Amino acid sequence: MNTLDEQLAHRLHDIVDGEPDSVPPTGALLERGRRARRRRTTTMVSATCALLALGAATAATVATMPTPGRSGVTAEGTPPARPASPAMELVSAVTASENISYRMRLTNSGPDGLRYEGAFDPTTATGYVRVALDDSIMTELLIAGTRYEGGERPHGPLPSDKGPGETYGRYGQHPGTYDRLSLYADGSNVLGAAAPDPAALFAALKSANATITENPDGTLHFEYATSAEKGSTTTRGDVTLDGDGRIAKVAITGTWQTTAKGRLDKGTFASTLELFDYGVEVKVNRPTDVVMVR
Amino acid sequence: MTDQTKPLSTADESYVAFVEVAWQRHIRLAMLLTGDRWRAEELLQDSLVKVYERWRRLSRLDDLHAYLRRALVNNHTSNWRRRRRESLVADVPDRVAPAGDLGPDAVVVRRALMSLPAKQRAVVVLRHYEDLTEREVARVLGCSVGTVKSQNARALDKLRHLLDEPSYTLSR
Repeated sequence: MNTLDEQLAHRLHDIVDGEPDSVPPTGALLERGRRARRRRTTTMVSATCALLALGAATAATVATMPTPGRSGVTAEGTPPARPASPAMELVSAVTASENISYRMRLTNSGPDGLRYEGAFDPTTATGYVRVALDDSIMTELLIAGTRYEGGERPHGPLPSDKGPGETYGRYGQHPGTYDRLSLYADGSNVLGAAAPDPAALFAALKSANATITENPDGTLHFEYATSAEKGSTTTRGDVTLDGDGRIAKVAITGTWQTTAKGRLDKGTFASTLELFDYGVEVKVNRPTDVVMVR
Repeated sequence: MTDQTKPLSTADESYVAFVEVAWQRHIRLAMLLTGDRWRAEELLQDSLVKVYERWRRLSRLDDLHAYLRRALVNNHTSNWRRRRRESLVADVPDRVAPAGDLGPDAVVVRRALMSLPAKQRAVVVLRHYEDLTEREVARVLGCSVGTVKSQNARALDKLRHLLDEPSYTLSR
């Protein structure tokens, strides 16, 4: 070989081909990936889970102290009762917000904060949510229980390193049926704060033991902490109700820390979930370019 | 409940299957880009985490490995830029790992390779190690074919110059 061009490929292979194979850290990758996905999509999920935890905690309160003519929390859409405590006021609001359609908006703070917008009708299992990223508008559709996920072309120009390889407007159809939007989060998480799911409420009760108080301005305040093997999260939130006693806004702040990378990483998050236009008609058209998700 | 105790979903199972193949396939590319195994594993892990975030959508792509390769190269280039901004020194080459069992020629080439700017190094590695065409390299880097040609020419010129120096001399 006489030229550098000819030698280079061989020399590059010499550098690395003798390296021993290693085992990929799949467990750590899954853990980091789940956490990253949660941070990215999900401060919304945090907001929703917080709300569910509250609903669960307060539901338990009510379940053990049934009011006359009512046996604990139901999804009957009963009118909001006059609550006797912050906890009962909240469970009343959760109950009033169930079984009715709504629009939602979630805004995450920070330079990389995302804004999710959508609508959901729990009675027809139909809704959508989308979030604008730099290379696509990530979209989830739920039509009578059938879930589709895909990306639409962004409104602005694409970054120079993005675009090729993307197929905009193509949706993956998930097998099975669903009663709520997932928003790319773990299947155990719930987008719709008003989704009637007692099982989820009580599962959340086990994982987050929230305390609920009332702020001087009449809004409700909650706090809870969760921990895992390599990290922990503390969440605080304020809940504002609308004139019908339904949940209008949940403002969340929190701190997290993790040692998953072998060092101590810390951070904060803040997000605001708004639910409005209760009773809105939610219609979603099936996408035309659909492939089945295996 | 910790995530580690959670049973794997179908999507997670397919992701793990992809990782097991992708890890062996791309770790060496990452080593050529970063200069050592520790950084290579960190870079590959960071890229695979980004893939996980979008797995449900990405898993429908025809060539996931091409996507990962692009993520790997772009993550490395942006990390390298960030480190440059944070450094008080104008031009700090990536750290080169100890020679280990490498032959003298491989050590020489690796030293020279690590002296290249990140993008030129990426062009050289993609073109000459991954054996991509200029058009494919351009697609990975999100630049024009002309840029790939010029970056490759500059990189080879610099490598040729370095390898002609007595301290770098290749055995022929």
